[in-house]
Amino acid sequence: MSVFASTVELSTHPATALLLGGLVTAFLRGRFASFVLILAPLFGLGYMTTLQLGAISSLHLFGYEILAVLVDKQAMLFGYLFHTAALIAGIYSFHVRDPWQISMSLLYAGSAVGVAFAGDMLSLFLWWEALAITSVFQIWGRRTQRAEEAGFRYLFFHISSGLLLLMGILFRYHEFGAEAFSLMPLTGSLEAGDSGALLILLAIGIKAAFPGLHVWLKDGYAEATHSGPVWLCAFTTKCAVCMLARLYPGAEILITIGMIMALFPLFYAVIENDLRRVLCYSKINQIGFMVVAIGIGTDLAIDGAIAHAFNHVLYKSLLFMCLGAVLFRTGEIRASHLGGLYKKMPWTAGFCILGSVAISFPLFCGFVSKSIIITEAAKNGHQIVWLVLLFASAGVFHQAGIKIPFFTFFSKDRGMQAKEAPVNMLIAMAFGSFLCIFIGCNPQWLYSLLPNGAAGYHPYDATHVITQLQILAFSGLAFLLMRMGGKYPTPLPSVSLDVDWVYRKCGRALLYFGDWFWNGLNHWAHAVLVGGLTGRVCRFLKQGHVHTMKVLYLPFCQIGFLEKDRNQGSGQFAKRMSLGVHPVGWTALFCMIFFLGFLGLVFW
Amino acid sequence: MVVSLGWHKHAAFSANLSLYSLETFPAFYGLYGLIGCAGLVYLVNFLMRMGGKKILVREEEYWEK
Repeated sequence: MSVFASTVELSTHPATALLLGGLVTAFLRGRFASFVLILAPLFGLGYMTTLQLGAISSLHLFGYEILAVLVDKQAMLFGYLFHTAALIAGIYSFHVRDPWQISMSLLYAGSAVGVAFAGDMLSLFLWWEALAITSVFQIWGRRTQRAEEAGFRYLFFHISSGLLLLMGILFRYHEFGAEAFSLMPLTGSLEAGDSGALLILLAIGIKAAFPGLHVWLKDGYAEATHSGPVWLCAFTTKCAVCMLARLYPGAEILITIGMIMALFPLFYAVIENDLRRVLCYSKINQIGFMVVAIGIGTDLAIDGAIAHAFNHVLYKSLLFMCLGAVLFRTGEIRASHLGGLYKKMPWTAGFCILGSVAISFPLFCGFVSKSIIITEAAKNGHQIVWLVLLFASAGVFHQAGIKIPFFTFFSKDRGMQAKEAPVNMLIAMAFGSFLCIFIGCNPQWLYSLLPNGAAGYHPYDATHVITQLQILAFSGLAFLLMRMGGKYPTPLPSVSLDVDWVYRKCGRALLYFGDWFWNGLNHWAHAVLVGGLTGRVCRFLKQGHVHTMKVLYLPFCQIGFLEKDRNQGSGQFAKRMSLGVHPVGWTALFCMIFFLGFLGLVFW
Repeated sequence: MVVSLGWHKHAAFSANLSLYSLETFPAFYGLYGLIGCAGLVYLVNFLMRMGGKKILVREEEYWEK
């Protein structure tokens, strides 16, 4: 996919503006920091426009040459995306005054840009770890015990991802040498059973929220600050999609994984009460589309995956912004406790509806990319995949597109006191909405940025539009009928267990086992070595010369020497020996023995 | 729905694939969306009745206990 017109050595990394902004905001306070939050992505975007395709930047580290930056069309697209997302999230977070959160937000965005432009595995690993560490502050920033615990669980997954990536790189280095550092596709190696390629896939799979590895996403996002998910939803999973598209295009296993990702969240979205978690499930569902497309692996499918990653950031961040505004104003995000807010937050409600229809409806961004993936599944004869994606497309609109605005703004009014979102939040939502509509109406603008230019794909033909409208209209009808018939589950204060149960219960069991085994071993070792063996050795050594003298003394006593000492008794003898007071005869005798021994050694 | 009944659309699949006839069935997309989404909700309700309230969801303070 990389088309290099030229090779130009870059002097400045594309992430510099964001990283510098992050460092500067750590020392600024108040609105100064907030302005940097907006200016840094703007400067970064400006610099992005000056980059030349094919430009590189390399540096020497530990005797290796690291390709720190590689500018190709895919990197450029993700670079534009990450800067735009940082700008939207920066406007949205303008009122935030926590310097840690502001600083880490920009460093996080900068790390994502670093991943997108990484030229080899070593630079990828460094940015990958930076991504993990800087992102967790969006969760910890909420400063509750739940957020703190969720942050540690989040960090556990992401540090594990980094370690798996490093293991994969080292495995491959052991096998292939310095060639292993290249970011060339690993699909062939994976299908040939290369364990390094498998470990790297697993590392990316954690960040992409593969089934079973997705817990961090719904756990972390739901406990984050009101603005946290707007940042989180833009970078981590999209970096994973970017790397999957680069390293594993056409890996067939991704089709199966993507199908599962597109399906299982729909089920949990129905029973979930926390609306930000519902959005997280919807997010996993949409990443499933991208993973399937990468698994299909044709040029158009890869373009579809990348285009959908771009659009997904726009509409998902819009929805997270709306829910963040609701949380900010009401302090509540559970469907069972919300409702009727459209009167108090009409603009937010409007933007939320726009975000919901942008998932799939024609004239909105989600449609122009998702239809590429579904069409490519059909064109390549993946019939089951096509059916699954079609159902997933209807299901996500049904479960997230309708459920979220309905239960937040239009269901029974709970009498909650709230007022409209702050102006900066509304501006960010308006900007996000504009982009959703702009790309939906001008898909060729996005297609021209794609690595393969979407190969002349046209989303707006009668087939695509009518079939999509049908499926969405009837999934909406299903919601209406179920709701009116009292069949749709009423949101109740509850928590869905998902595979959280396995991690938390098994984790706790592992903790108890570890406590029992290692602390038991420690107690045993202490009792045996410190309390038992060491004590005995110490006691023996303390009285060592007494014991030695006793051993030496006894034979002499038995043959009749030292009669007086023999009659003194053992206690008296031990006391005298411990004080170092020996009879003169003893000393003379041993001197003679040693002297004779010495002579023997010399003359023998 | 009305449009699809009388409209001979270009199918996503070629005629030699088995899904072609299903896809070109009148109102296939609408019915698929309706039945799929309704089926999903029924499945959830069924599972919740079959002990899902203990296996799938728990009270809010479950993790704090």
